[in-house]
Amino acid sequence: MGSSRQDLTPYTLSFDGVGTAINAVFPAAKLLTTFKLDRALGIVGFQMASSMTVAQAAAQMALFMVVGSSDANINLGQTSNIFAAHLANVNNSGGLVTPANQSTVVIFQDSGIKLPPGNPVSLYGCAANNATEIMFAVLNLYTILIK
Amino acid sequence: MRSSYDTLSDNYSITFKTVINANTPPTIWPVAALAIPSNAALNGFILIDHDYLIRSMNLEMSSGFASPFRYNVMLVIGTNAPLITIGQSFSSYLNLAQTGGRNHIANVQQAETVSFVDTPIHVGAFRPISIYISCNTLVNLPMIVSMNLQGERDLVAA
Repeated sequence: MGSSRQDLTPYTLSFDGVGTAINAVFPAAKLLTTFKLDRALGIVGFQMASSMTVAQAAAQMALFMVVGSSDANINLGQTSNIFAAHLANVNNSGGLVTPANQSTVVIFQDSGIKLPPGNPVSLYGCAANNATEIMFAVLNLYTILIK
Repeated sequence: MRSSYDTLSDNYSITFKTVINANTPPTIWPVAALAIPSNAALNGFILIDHDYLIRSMNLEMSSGFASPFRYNVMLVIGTNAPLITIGQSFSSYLNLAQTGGRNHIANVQQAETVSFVDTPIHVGAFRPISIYISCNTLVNLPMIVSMNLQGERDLVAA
């Protein structure tokens, strides 16, 4: 068992929207939500949960957790510091659309990621300009205070 | 080297079923139609009478779905207020996010587990550990939820 008893604080980012609010076709990605730290934090882990309903004859949907960028638009082919990705392909042509649910957990056990003040943590998304594409995403950052 | 196999002896669970329905009261705790993802309604909570260290937390849900709605099942520590706003006053520790399908009625299941080995979550005595649900529409949405915590009594605090 670990012996540390340092309190862990979560930070939550979430996004709820449809394709018309995203309107960025892969590999272009649009900023969905972001926050900048006002103090130095250590990320000891995170959970990213998402559900995407992809319309037939629309575009792939995708969600990315990116550290260090809060630009309104990025090109994923040129982006580093992607910590996690959730991808959903176009559904089949049968007319029945089943959402794609995903959850990712990463825990850095003996180490962590030091985030200086002002460094953004962001969610970026891809979707067609189509109101029938639906995305719901939540990111929980597990952090500790560091000096 | 692992030195002990008996420390994870303080474990807690919440398991309930409910129906998010405009005409039928929920079976256990109040559920409301709320704008998501920011607002959420309390669905259950536990109070532990001593300081507690969470080593692992597990959240599972299963529900039926039909039309394109969105809902979110979340684990929150530190409040048992009937309604909260996530992201302003409170952050969540674990989430299960769900969108609906189209022209399709099915059953969905989700589960997630997080284990904190070196940095357990400290929960003070009588600090609520709660399950909140937000949903953007009142439909006939049956749901079963289970939250399970594995941990140990915080002897340092005692």
